[in-house]
Amino acid sequence: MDWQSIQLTLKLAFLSSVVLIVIATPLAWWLARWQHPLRPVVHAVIALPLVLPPTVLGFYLLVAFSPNTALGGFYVSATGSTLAFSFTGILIGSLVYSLPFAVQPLYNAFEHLDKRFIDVARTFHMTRWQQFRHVVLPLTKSAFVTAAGLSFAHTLGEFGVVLMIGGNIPGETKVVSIALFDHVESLQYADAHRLALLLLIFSLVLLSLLYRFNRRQVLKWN
Amino acid sequence: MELVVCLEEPKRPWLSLRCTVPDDVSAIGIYGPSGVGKSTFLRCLAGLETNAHVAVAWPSRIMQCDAKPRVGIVFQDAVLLPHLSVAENLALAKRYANTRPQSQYMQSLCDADVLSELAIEHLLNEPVQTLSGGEQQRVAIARALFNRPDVLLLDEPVSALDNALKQRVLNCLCHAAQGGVLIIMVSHALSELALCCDWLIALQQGEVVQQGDAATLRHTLLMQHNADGEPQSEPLFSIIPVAAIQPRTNHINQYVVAGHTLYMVAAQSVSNRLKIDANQVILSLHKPQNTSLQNHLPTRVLTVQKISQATMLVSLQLLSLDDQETDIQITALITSQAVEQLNIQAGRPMIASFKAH
Repeated sequence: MDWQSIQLTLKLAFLSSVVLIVIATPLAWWLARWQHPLRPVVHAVIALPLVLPPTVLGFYLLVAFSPNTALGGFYVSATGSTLAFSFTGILIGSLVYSLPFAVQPLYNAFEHLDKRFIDVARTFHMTRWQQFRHVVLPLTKSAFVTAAGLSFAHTLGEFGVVLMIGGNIPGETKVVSIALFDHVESLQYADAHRLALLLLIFSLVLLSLLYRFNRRQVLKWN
Repeated sequence: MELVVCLEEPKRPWLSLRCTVPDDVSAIGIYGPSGVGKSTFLRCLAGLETNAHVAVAWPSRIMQCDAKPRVGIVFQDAVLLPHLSVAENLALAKRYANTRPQSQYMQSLCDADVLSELAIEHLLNEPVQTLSGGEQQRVAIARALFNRPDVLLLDEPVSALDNALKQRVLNCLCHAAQGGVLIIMVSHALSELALCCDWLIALQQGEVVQQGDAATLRHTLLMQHNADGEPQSEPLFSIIPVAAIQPRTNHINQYVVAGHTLYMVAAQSVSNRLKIDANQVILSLHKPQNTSLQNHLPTRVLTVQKISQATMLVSLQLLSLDDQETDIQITALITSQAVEQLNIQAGRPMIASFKAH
């Protein structure tokens, strides 16, 4: 069994969903309140990874990771190595790739959140953090679980972007989907079967849990 | 106290209010039909409308030396946090309570008293979703009180309550007002405002159309609506300010007004204002003998006005024990036939009687 790939995939998926929640929460909050003609464009930019071939994303990321660009250059000067073909590189890739899956549930929840709950908290003179912690977070908990779960599951299924920007370095960028591709290429069908089945079952269980959790929440709130 | 509120926003009722209220007023009633911007007005006062221009010179008694007074708001549909139980909702308000309340009422606020005044002690462990609309309204009022505001804004706070509970909740608000909390309450029912407020502001299309002392303006507004023949106009009533005497006996509360004793059944909690419906008042030339009527007050007729073809409204001035005129008025709705039979006219002494419930 490719334990190294499995461990690497879980680490990538876990870090992606944690970082995505941190990024997507303020982004979705701002997007749900922002009234501007350019709003659909921002929505579209966030949703792009849903429709673009992962190779397109990967290609542009690869360009951005080049030491000649601001991002790539900064990373090289800070760490001494390039972003391309590194774990940080594929982490950035999965953040972009899974961003819509984190933003969408949060955006929907924030938009449907009755603003008067926050009004009451404001008249209690709660700080913004207290308002978030006592009012917004508990009322939109299911959206946070959904956002984290979907980001996690979607990162597990990432292939094209990693292949473009990460290559196939064991322990660094060789995630399960890449390892599976490797096995097929070298005609090791038994190993391929094991990994494919593992991904299939794991994803199925994860999504089932998410749906189950969401249904309970829906029943609870109505 | 000066209130200036302006709000001009697309898709919202337009609002431009300017009014001056005497500083000793403890409860202000905002009156008007639905859709004239009453609720928006409260939101502006609470500082929840960022686009509104709001300038309020609060009375000095509620001003904290270095900060604005804390303004609490109770929305019509409660807005309790659905993930918390009743007790947890109240605890959250307490946790962030005003540490320097200006009013004596808030400084000595006793949780248990508020819970029993609002009749919600039995609900503490309930989840919020299982509460009825009326229960939610009462919990929301308790939650606002537990945060110890200096000013409390209420949007139709008793709209979902039956009469006995309405009285109870209004009494609770009266206590807070007497204890120095400035109450500003919105309602479309004059009877609710009359039991609690001493100043009325009538809104129409986002503007102040009338304002003044509650006792006078209430009567004027009631008469206007009845004269206009508005189908949803409220029944005519009068309010008698009273003092309660302890102890009550046989579940009857005893009150004193101008030296006269009044009796009211104790299903209604003790209050300092009694609402007497005009169609429940019986007029006699002499004090009725051998009658089941419990309350008799000596009065002198002020005016007799025609209300409809068959009915007339008699306004009466209450007389004290030694036959001196007081400034308390009672109204009685009687038939024109009765007015003729008893020859009721201005200046005539009459006994006004009404039942104890």
